[in-house]
Amino acid sequence: MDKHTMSTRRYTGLIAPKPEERSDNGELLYPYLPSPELVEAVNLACDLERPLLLKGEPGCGKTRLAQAVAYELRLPYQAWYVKSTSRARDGLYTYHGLARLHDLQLAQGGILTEEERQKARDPLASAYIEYGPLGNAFQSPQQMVVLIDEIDKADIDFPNDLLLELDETRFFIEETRPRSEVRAQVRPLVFITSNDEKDLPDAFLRRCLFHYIRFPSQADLVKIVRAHFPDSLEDTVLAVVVRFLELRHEMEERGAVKKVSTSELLDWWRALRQFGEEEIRSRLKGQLAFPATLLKSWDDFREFYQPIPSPEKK
Amino acid sequence: MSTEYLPLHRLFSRLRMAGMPLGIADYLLVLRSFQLGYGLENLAALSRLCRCLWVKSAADQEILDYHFGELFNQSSASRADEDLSLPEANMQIQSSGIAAVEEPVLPAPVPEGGQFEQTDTMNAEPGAEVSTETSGAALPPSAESLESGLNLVGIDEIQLAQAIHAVAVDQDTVYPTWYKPTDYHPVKLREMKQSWRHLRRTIRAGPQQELDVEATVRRIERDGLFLDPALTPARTNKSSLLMLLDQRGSMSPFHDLTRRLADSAIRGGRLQRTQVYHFYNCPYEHLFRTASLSQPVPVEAVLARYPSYMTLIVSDGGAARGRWNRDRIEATRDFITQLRRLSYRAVWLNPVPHMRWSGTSAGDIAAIIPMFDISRRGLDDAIDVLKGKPHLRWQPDLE
Repeated sequence: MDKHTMSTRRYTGLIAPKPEERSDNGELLYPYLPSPELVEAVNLACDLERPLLLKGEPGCGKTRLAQAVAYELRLPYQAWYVKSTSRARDGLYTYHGLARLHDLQLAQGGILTEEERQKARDPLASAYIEYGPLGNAFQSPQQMVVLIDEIDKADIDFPNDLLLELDETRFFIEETRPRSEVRAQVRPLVFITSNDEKDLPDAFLRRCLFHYIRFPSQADLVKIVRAHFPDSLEDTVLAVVVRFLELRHEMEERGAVKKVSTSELLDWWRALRQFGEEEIRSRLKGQLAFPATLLKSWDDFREFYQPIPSPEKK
Repeated sequence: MSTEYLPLHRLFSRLRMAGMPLGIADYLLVLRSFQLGYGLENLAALSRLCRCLWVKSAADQEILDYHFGELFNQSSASRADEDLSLPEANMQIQSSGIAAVEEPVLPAPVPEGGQFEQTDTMNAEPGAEVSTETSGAALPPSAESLESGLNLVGIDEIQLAQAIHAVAVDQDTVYPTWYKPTDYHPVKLREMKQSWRHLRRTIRAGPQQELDVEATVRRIERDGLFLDPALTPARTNKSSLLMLLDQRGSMSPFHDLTRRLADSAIRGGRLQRTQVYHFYNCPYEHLFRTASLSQPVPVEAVLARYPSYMTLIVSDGGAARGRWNRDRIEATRDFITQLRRLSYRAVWLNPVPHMRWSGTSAGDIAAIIPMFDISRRGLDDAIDVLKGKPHLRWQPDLE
């Protein structure tokens, strides 16, 4: 069998983790319910071997798609959470020059064992190179899923610095003598998310496919809540979702600092479900129950939350 | 057997003319997707495919939707769910693919007796008559060249196209006889963003994070041992920009332009901080936070709050109406003096071309502060001056 296999299965979005199933690092896994357009975009990106750029409101599931795809296609998964100080090289490798300099100094002092001395003197410096998510993906014999999260947080040059690596899936390690090259054996599946805070350079955008994740419909929201909480009653969830969508609609009309999205709905349900059905329905009327899960700024509180009127004296 | 004709190349060229940065590789990518089986079921699938491959932003989306709707118009709305049968589609794609590879400028070959009503002979030779059946689909050829000559971008391209279309249907004229004031775009949005990227002032500031190799080597030399690395702060872009925009009155026609300038500076991402304030006619006593001239802030407060910001003033300075007003000049002069005391560097951008400055207040103001017109060159020169390049004062006889 060919050692370097690309996944030939297609992503359907229908294979979900079982309840209480956990990922490798112990997190609970929940089902991810993509729209048919998103499934098509994922498969197109796989077939055309291009990264998929995802945009959408915060809280609509951009970041979680990559893990869901990795789960269904049973591929290893690496995530790179970009910071404002990130450099493109961090995702490829980090060269620990100071550690090496330190070890060389100790070697001169005659303190190290022979093995440690060899390690420090190695011209390929393999002991001092730590690979980042993309570096790991390039070296893996099996196809990996790589997520580059919030790429617009970094400096504007950052996406341009990754062009060669994304196109030709190779990079150079500059610090070794001679310069060594790392070439991917299998092209990884790359998912990139952006919050659209800054515009990305054109040269980078041209290499990616693009999909905008729309806010789910009412029926989809009910499905999402029930997928996270399988023991919930459909009618109750529907009533909660309807109230939620009313709030969201109000926020769109009157303008809000942060519109409520899917993650707020899930938090709200998590708070509400501790009560019985009757209690939940009564709490949906009148003022907003558990506003702390939904309203994330003082302006939104003032605009959309009516405080409990003080009880009248009997 | 019906020969379905897919005006894909036509769509592609229209999108390119509308300013979307598409290349031949993008066209070939769509063809490759067809071969893999995507986008062939119906028009909606084709639209989704084009969106996934060619669209990168909301503005691009609207351009695509508009042109897609134009080319696959209402007469074939009923065809939206019809299958484009696979073998024929492949045949056409092969031939259009070859046409694209050999001569990217030529359109896809026109089939004979095609049932697709959008068969337009427009591309074959310029000056061919507008076929009356294709009233929804085609723009007259002279209008197309007009479009590209005007360098329009984004949504406004759609508006102009609609205006041309509305006029052309009458068959009387093929070009619009009037322009809406919002159609004035001397600099494309992309060009603006590129210019802003040059406005950089990277200095090392902040916490000491990066290794300073030279200093470390010197330290080793001095001490004879390597004990501690020497660190230095990382480079950050310290350029901060204060934009003052003239609103209303003679600047009303340029609102779109100034808004684009401000948006591209803020979203371009290079500048560390951009602050935008507005004024009416002349920055006198108060500046306003919003374009509708509400929320006034005293001028001294603004300048004190943002010291050492680079300042950019956008105003016609009286050149739009051709007026010379001593009071306006004096008030502006006072403001600029105040500005110079606190601000790092200041330049003035004038939407009216420099040929119209002499004899107006703008001409006198140009003698006090570097003034540039809003063109690609003018914007680049203004940014150079903000970065420190010395500037020769504008004089009327230098025309």
